[in-house]
Amino acid sequence: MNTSTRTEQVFLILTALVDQPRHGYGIVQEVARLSNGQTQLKVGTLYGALDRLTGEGLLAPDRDEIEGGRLRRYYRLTEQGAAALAEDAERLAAHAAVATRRLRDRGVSLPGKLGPAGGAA
Amino acid sequence: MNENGGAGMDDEDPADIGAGADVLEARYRRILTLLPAAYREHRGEEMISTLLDGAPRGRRWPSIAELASLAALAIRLRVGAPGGTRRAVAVGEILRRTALTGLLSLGLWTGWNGVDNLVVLWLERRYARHLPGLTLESWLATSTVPPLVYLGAFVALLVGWRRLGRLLSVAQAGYIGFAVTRHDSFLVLSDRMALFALSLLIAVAAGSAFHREAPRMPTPRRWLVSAAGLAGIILTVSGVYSALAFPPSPPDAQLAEEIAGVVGGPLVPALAALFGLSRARRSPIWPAALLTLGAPGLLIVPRAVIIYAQGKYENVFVGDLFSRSLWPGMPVYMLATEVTLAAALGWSLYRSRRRATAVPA
Repeated sequence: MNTSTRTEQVFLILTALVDQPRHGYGIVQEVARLSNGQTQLKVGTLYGALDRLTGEGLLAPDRDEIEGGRLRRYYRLTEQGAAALAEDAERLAAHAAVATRRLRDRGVSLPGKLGPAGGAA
Repeated sequence: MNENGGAGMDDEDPADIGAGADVLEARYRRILTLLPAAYREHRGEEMISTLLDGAPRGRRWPSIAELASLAALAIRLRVGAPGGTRRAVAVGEILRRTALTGLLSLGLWTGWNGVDNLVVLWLERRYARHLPGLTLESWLATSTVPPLVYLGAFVALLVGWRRLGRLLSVAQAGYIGFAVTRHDSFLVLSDRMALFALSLLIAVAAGSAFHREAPRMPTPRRWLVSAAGLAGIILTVSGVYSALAFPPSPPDAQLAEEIAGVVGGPLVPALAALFGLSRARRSPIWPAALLTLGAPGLLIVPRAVIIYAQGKYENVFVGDLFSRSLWPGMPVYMLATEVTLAAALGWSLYRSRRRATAVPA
């Protein structure tokens, strides 16, 4: 799958695994945290994405653990996955910078971190 | 409170909570039976962990959203999503070809009618006003919107605008469903059923097989060029035919009727059968896709058999193939095409199995 067709959910899943391997529910929680609760991954969506990303070599199973009688399979970001995420992040940052600059030129005040003090422009 | 924020549940009896979790787990396991067995064996236990970890404390029933998400995953896995079996990959390929070929066929068919209508309108503007209840705008809309929807869905699915393509594919089924249930429809019931079943099949095939994890169609440019070439030929022939046939004059109308008899009769089924046969040597995918696409057409066969048995075979069966009816001889063509494609599929499957089990010398 090329960069432009990766969805926001996939972007967040890759981002959730940058710092450490996580199991399924760990990924769900981290994605919710990264998106300020806006993205709540459903299990069917999560495992569909994990199958695809594992097949593409962007993620790999890390280890299996049994906790409280339940199987937890951890996934980690591969080097290829990190490179793909870096490419996505750069592309999105470039788009955001252009959008921010144009909005400022138009005189639109930007809330939050993109406001007068901060910004990506 | 658990890590999922089961606020307000702290006063519950732990035994009740434990029993509730067991009930919920059993229900999740039942839902997971929707998934293919091999996938469930590989993923089932970790999915159960993730589902139970994410369920608020005290919940006894799976949420509708989780149920829908798992059902959608089950469908995707059966039509070739990553993680599915080889058979599922093949089913996905078959359904994608079924959907695209169906959309293109109906696009060209409605396009033929559309061009016919537009030529008639251009030659004799008052024509539209002569039909009761039909305004110029509705005449133009019924001439142009259906081919644009079908061909738009075809192009959208090919180039990767899947959401739009699926939406248009479902919309066409809704439109056909509405059109064939109208009391003033001029088609007989079996023809209406066949048309609706075909549009429904296309909607289901497009909706299920062009999911977000489906692979892109190989060689989309070849599909687009072939479709553009076919559309150019068919719509030009339609325009010429309409110009010859209107206003009606006996010699020209006779030629036009004969062209229409071939195009609306044996031409498309014969092309489908020949194409399926030519591809059967390489793989069973195309014969299977065309066989699937033609299956709703068999709904018009029983009526033809009944009428033939009653001796009223005018406009229906052999001996009257080119009469001036809507789909003259079509039950025969459909049956012959489906039998040919089924034979091609059987032969192709036999060949591929033999190749797979052949011991190298």
